[in-house]
Amino acid sequence: MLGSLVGDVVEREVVRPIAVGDRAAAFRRLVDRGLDSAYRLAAIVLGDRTEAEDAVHDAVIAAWRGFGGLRDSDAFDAWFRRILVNVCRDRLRARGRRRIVDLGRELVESEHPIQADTAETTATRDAVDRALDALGADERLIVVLRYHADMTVPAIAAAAGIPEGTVKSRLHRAMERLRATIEEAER
Amino acid sequence: MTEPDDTRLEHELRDALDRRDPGPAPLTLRERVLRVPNEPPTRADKGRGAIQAVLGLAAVVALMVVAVGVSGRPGPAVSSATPTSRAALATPGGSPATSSGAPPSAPEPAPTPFPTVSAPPYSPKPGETPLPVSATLDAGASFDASLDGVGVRLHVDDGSGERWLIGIAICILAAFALTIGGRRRILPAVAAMALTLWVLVATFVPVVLTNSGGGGGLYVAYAPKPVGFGEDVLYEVAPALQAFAFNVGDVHAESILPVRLEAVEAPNWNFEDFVALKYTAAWLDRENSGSGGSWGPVAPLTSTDLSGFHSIWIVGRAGACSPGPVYYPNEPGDGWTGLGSELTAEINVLGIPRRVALQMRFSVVEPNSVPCAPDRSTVSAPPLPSGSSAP
Repeated sequence: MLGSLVGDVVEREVVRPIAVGDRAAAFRRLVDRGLDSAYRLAAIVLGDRTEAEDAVHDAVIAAWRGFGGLRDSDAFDAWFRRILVNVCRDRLRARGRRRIVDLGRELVESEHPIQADTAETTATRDAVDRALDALGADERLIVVLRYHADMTVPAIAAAAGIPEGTVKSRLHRAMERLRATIEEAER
Repeated sequence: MTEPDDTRLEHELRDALDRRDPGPAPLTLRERVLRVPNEPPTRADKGRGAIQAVLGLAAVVALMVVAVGVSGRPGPAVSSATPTSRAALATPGGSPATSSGAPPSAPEPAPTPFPTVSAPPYSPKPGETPLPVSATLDAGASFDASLDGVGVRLHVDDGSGERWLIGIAICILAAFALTIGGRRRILPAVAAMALTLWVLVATFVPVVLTNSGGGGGLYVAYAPKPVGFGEDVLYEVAPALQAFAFNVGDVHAESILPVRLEAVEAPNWNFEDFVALKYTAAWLDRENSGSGGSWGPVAPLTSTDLSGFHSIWIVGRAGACSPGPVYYPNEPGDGWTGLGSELTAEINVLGIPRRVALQMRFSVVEPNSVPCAPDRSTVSAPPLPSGSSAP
């Protein structure tokens, strides 16, 4: 009951500016609310923090352009996620075979070195990382949405704009490739 | 890998993704995105808006032009020339002139008040020179051999103009759909696809014009029939500069879509000095189902549905050098002018014209005698030439 009341208050605060015409304020609130998850998603998908910031910024610009046509503010999160997924996918495809090194991640790992693991664990981690990097744009997007954002198959289908069957087949194919890569590394 | 291995893989995968998690969005990004609503539209945005507006307007205009251009096509050309004479023929008791070889004495299908253009009750002996059939003026007839331009065109429309128009409209709609975002693009995209489907189907759906029968009309003569030859051979032997007529036969379109016959092509129509035969008009037979043979032209050819059989008549003028009734196959004269056995027609499929060939079961050939008799310059007949048809 209390949660519901709080939710009503929050939604009312969010929606009211649209009603009075202050679209910019409402847009800022909605974007600010989901910015962290958007940035995380973009960074994991793209594997590059700087490019992730650019991708989120591009997605916000695209969302602002189309914000006037969005009638239901409750649908903002799913709508914005779809825009972000499209931006990330376009960037991955445009990147092609270029190898982008995430200096930020490497810096973090060097400052906070991983505790002494067994050689086998390290090899497995490296193999998983390599396998993730080797996935195609569409497969990588779906794996991240499924295992990082914990989205269901229908939600992934809605976010990526593809049928659920395609999501399942791509997910299955990606997992097979990851499994094969890990098995090969452990031999 | 077993099921526990699957669980392990999922675990490794989640770990790997978590290791890539950069944490909350940096402050610089937060400030950057929150400034977005304050930023004025860029020049590119303004340009895109202008392009969208122009393309949207162009798309609407293109659709209207296509609608008007296709639906508002003119019908068969009709010349403004005043008929100078009426040469309608009525041959009481005459039978339809068809290629079925029906003898001229065949019984008439039914009493009719309409004029008929048919073979006379005349049957020369083999080897005998065909005799001309005199024309009888019937003032009350609806068929007018002097009426020029009905149902014929100098060049029938092949629909290229319509196709260009639709192609341009498709390009505009596609460009408009690409420049706008979201679900709004569905409407122009669907319109572009519908136009594409329409023009492709109308252009490439198979259409075959078939015909059966045919024969002479105004000046019919029977050729000598060789011994043992069962089929009658007829000639249309119009005198110089006089009207002739022949029946193309029962025309029918074989297609999965409705097909309309719009007009037939009149070769050499525009050459005033052309000395040989011309086509001047096309007429529909009175028997519009084609099942009763050809009774004679009754109405100028207008847009006609070819799902059934329609008997078509071609009317023309013989050339100045046409030998007329003195023609004899064994004396071909000094030369000839022929239009061949193919008739070019304009059909209409789904509103878009197409040009098709119709194979007739006879050739249209005009033998010429030199010097011409009568001299073209001294003839007072209307300045329109004519021809003769051979089976």
